[in-house]
This record gives sequence, structure tokens and C-alpha cells, in this order.
Amino acid sequence: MAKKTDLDQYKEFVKERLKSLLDVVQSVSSGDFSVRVEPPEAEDEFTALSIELERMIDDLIEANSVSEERMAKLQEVIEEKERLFKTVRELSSPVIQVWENVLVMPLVGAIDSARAMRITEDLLTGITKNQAEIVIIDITGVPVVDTSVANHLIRTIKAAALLGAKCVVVGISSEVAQSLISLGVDLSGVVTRSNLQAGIRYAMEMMGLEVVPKKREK
Amino acid sequence: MTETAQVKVAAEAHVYVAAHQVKTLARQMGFNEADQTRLETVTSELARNIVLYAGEGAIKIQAITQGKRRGLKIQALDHGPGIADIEQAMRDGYTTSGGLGSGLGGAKRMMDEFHIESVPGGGTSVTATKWLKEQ
Repeated sequence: MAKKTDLDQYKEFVKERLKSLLDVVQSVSSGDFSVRVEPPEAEDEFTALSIELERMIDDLIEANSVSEERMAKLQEVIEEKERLFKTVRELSSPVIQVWENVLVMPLVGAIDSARAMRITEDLLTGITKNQAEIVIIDITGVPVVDTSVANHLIRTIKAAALLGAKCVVVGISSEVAQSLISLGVDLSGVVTRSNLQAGIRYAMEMMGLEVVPKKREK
Repeated sequence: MTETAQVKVAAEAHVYVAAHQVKTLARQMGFNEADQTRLETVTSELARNIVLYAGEGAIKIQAITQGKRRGLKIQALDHGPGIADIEQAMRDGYTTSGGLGSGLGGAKRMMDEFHIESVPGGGTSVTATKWLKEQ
């Protein structure tokens, strides 16, 4: 067997050093930052590389902890946002009993399909719970009434009718009324009144009630 | 004053963002309240169509000038399935989504200029303009 030449020895040395560095890089790339680069016993061609690698790992560890911190904060913000959304959702479609068998549902904000479903659900629950006969839906606070919103409203009203409750829509502004006409939305089957007061008066009439001034006792 | 703006539309929430932006610009430009509401409603219809049929797209809003006239131009762009029969889609009562089916026709009635370009499979571009009436 031939005697190992200096070159062979050097080759082996390089191979070994490279392997140990490769091990470190592989562990780091798989997310294990606990590995350290062994400091070379004597300064050699790999010393500079080792030191740089070590520094890189330190930077990575720092960057990683910063990004983890950010992620945690982001997660917190997301959770907070979800909590707020939930609160808003619950607040946004209240069903209020204003008189025996008479409910008012003031709608505020944009109505998308998810909210429309919720509104219908809340309303139906409210109707059953309060044995409502008349429901006044106030859309004063709805910013845009397009065909989709109108469609949602009509469906909600139909669902309420199935439970025997009659809906009155109030709070259609003159601008919204003009848009609805241009859109060709047919609200002919829907009872509408200009404002909440008129809606309540209508409800009173339907219930056979009237509001009269109190007689003064003499 | 923002002369042009583009709103990405990929979810229902963006519909209101776009509609609100148009209303704000319309108010700044001096449109009366009825026209502000019309522009807002048209934007809402167009943006909703994007979400409903294409999934995502954009609403471009522009304050434009033509000679002495000033107007507000709304463009709804998407790369969705396109509209096979535009004439049919414009007709009141026609719907493929279970809606009321008067959105596009209604939107056209509310605007001064209304133009649809669509290639089946290649997306849709709706351009709608309303001119500011001379005071």
C-alpha cells in the first residue's frame, strides 16, 4: 500500500473540516440553533469561515427571536381583533322589544351575506322569544342599499312572515329610495314608513292601540 | 384630493371600501347627495359582481375632465369567467346567482355612460361614468 502523501492527508483534513461545518449548517437549516462551531485548535484555512459561520448563527438566533416575538404580538392583535369583531357582530343587530309583540331591529353598518344571515337568525329568534307580531326594521344606519342588500332584506322579511310576523322597513332616505327605483328593486310587497316614529305609529295601529294625551286630573 | 384610486376587491368587505371611496370622491367633486348615493350604489353593484363571479379584481376610480365637463369614472376589472351574453346580463330579472337580477341594468340607468367589455374566460371590464351637472 502506498504511503499517504501530504496531499492525501490534506485532502482528508479538508474533508473532515468540511463535514463538521456541513453538520452545523444542516442542523441550523433544520431549525436547531443549539449547535456551535467548534473553534479550531490552530488557526487554519477554515478559521475565518468558522468565525463567520458562528456569527451568522448568532444573527439568526437573534432574528429568529425577534420574529417569534413579532409573531406572538401579531397573534395577540389578531385575537384582539376577532374579539372586537365578535362584539361588533353582537351589537350590530340588536332586537329590541318596544311594546308587547312589537320589535325594533335597528341596522347599522354594511350588510354582507354573513351578516345578513345573522340578522335573519337573530330576528327569527327574537320573534319566537317575544311572540312578536310586528317587526320594525330600521335601515337608517345602512350606508349602501344595493340589489344584494335589498335582496337580503326581502329574504329576512319573508322568513319573518313564515313565523307570522309582519315587517315594516323604516329609514329609507330619499337618496336610497331614488337608487332603489333606478335599480328596479321591487319593494311593492314590503310595508315601508319614512322613519322609526311612523313605523311605531303603524305598529300601534295594527295592534289596535293608539297613543292619546294623558288626561289631567283636576 | 385624490384624482385616481384603485381598490383591490377580493372579499365582500372590500365592496364597502370601494363604495365608500367613490362616495368620498363624489362628495369632494361636488356631486349632489342623490348622485353620491347613486355612484356609491353602482360601485357596490360592480364590486359585488367581482366578488360573486370572478372572486377577485379591482375597482379603479378616476376624476376625469372632458372639455369643460368634469366627471367621475368607475372601472371594474377582473379576470373572471367573463360574460357570455352581455345583452342578457343587462336585462332586469336575469341572474345566475339567485340575486334580484337587476344590478347591471340598474347600474347602467344610474350612470351617464356605461360600457361592458367581456371575453368569455378572459375577464370583464365595466366602465361607468357620471358627469357633474353644471351648477
